[in-house]
Amino acid sequence: MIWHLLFWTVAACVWLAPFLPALREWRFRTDVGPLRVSRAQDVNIRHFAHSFFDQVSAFFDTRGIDTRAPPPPYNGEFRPGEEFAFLGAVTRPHWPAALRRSRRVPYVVIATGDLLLEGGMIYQQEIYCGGQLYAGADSTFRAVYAGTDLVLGARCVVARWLHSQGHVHIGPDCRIFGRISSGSSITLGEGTRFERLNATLIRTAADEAPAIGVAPAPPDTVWSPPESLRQLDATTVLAATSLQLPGAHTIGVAVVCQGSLDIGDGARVTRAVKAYERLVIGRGCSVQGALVCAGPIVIAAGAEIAGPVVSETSVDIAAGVTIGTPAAPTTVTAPDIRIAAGSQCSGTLWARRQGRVAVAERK
Amino acid sequence: MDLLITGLEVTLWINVALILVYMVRHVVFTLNRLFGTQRHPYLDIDVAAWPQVAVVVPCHNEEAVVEHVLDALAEVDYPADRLRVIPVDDRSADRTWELISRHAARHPTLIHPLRRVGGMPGKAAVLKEVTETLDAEILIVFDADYLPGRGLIKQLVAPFFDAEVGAVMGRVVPQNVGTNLLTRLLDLERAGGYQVDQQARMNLRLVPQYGGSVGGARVSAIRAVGGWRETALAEDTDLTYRLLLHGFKTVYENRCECYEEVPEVWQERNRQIMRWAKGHNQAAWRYARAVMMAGHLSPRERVDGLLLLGVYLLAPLMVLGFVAALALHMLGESLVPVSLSVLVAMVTFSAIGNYAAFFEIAAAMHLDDSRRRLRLLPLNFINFLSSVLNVSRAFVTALLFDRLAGRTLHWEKTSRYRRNGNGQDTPAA
Repeated sequence: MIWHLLFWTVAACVWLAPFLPALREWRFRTDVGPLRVSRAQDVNIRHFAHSFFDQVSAFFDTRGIDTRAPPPPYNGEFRPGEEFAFLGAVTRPHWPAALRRSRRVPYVVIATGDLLLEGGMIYQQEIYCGGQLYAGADSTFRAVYAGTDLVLGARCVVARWLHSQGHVHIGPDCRIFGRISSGSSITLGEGTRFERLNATLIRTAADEAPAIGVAPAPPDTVWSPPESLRQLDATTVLAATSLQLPGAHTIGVAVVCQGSLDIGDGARVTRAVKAYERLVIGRGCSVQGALVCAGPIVIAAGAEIAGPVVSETSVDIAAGVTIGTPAAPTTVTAPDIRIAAGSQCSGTLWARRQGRVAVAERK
Repeated sequence: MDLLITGLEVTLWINVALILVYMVRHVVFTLNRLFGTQRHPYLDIDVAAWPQVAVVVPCHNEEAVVEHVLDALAEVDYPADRLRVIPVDDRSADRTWELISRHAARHPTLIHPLRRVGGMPGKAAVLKEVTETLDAEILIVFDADYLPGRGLIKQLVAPFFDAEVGAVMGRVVPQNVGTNLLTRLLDLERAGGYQVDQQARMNLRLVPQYGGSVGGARVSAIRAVGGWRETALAEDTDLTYRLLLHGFKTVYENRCECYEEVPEVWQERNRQIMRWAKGHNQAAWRYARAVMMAGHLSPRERVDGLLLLGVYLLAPLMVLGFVAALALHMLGESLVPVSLSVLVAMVTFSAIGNYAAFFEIAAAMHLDDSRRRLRLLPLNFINFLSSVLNVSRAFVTALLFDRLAGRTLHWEKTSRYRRNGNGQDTPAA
């Protein structure tokens, strides 16, 4: 009898124990707000840059700093625990000897004019530059905002974000973690690694224009989908296996392929294409719709893509490829993006894991 | 007597087997969300040549909320020349049409209202009528109590660049969480269902479900499958399965969050879940065989498609299982005391759960970083029991009164509770 009683007592305690915090939470209501769903910082690539700009503007206003006045004596706290160095219109900052020895600048650097930063330094806080900013090789930045153009030398590292209202030029072999955005264009040097870029025009520097040599599709060679393909709607067909589309043809339907899809050189595709395994766009092709693939997407030299390019694995962009236009920008997104020198994209280039500008082979 | 006992035992074991299948399904989904690879392939599309979109807001006596959704839609970040908002007043008896007209006058190029005074009532009928004459490429649907954020339309439209995508579903987040225990429990339930269940199905390339609001469909795909079925009680589930059987995919976008109102009184909640159950079961009768036979679907899609169709059949099965266990005990066949069976069952359901249940909810709270509200989880037992009873009731009434007696299933509207303000006091707004 006692064992029965003990069993039921223990069982009841085990069963009831979770109800104690539950009843307490019900009674005291410590967490009753709707789930926060704001995504401003995710959606807007310039969110952090604009926030910093707003902070600097507020800083000027609240401190009563005359941006035309010569520096110093302005210094102090920019944010709690973070000191600033106000350089005014000084172009070449002369850091104290201790900082020069340590190669580290621990301040939020604020300059109202152009800024010429010597190489090999580590800037541990954000830099605000009202004009053009030139940074020497081997510099490391937390984040940079430039009012006009921004030029980084070779092998620079940016940890969080970089924004310029003008042109951005990134030297070779740089590593840019986080976001780069520009009000006009971004040029990436060879070997540079990146994550998320956004500009009207994103170019990879090349010594010479790549030769493509594929004629556009004659208008009268139109590809007719075989009857074995499943018709999804009036303009979309579904292939259950891998498929090769002929080059130098006009493909007027959207094609979904449950295997690999290979589009021949010079084809003109007027709608979207999708493959499950691998998607290859031939040399000189033009695709007016989107490219979507769970596996890798390979875009051969000279191709022109108008729609978004989405891969769940990787995108490989050869030389001379154009994706989007300044008038109709688009998005390229994949965990890994490899882009050859001499290509250009308009809009967003977003490598979730790593983007890399390939190094061209020298003759 | 032996035949009866055998029948009860078979019923019980089938019951146990089915519950085990669903339990495994939920455990797999939860582990996938916690430790698996997450698929958000279209999330990063932020710049593109956006297609023509029509946002339809079906309204029936929505004076308490309709202005808020129209205000929110007037603020969305989408090219103005490619967006049209169509609030449809379906024979409201309150000030809904007046409020819609006022907003249309304020945004004449954006808001193009429609008023229905005849034809079949209900959301499916509204959607059918609008879609027939629509010249947009994409149709997005919001219920009138929803509060879309600025970037939501782009996020919902982005997957349609994929030619295989027929429908897209976003995540529904309760706004009136703090009203009472029911709203807090429904908040837990929604989190488990979307954050874990739907996203896991997306990750595993199974069958995410289009849920009728905070989502949309490709107009050409709707037309290719024969349009909206206005007699369907769950037009969303119906469309999901017709798109699936035709070859289109439905995509779930977990980061496309939108606020909604959840029922604040139990009677309303009971009506809602009974309506869902009837609609879902209607789709199950209609499509289960076709899903089983669909050769173009992958085996995993077929299995998940069937299991998804069966979710609202599980409650009556479970009740049947309890009855069978009890009957076996009364007939002297039970191996363990019935009280212990009940306790074990309770503990099992509390610990592992059923439906989009406890384990999934706990994982969802973890993923949402809502640790403190997770403490309420044991009280979800009340919601669980209520759902089991009401879903079973819906099954019985649908079978006995609607199907056998030929009674017409009809659409019912969920009550609105928003009192003052414009719904903009939410964290997203």
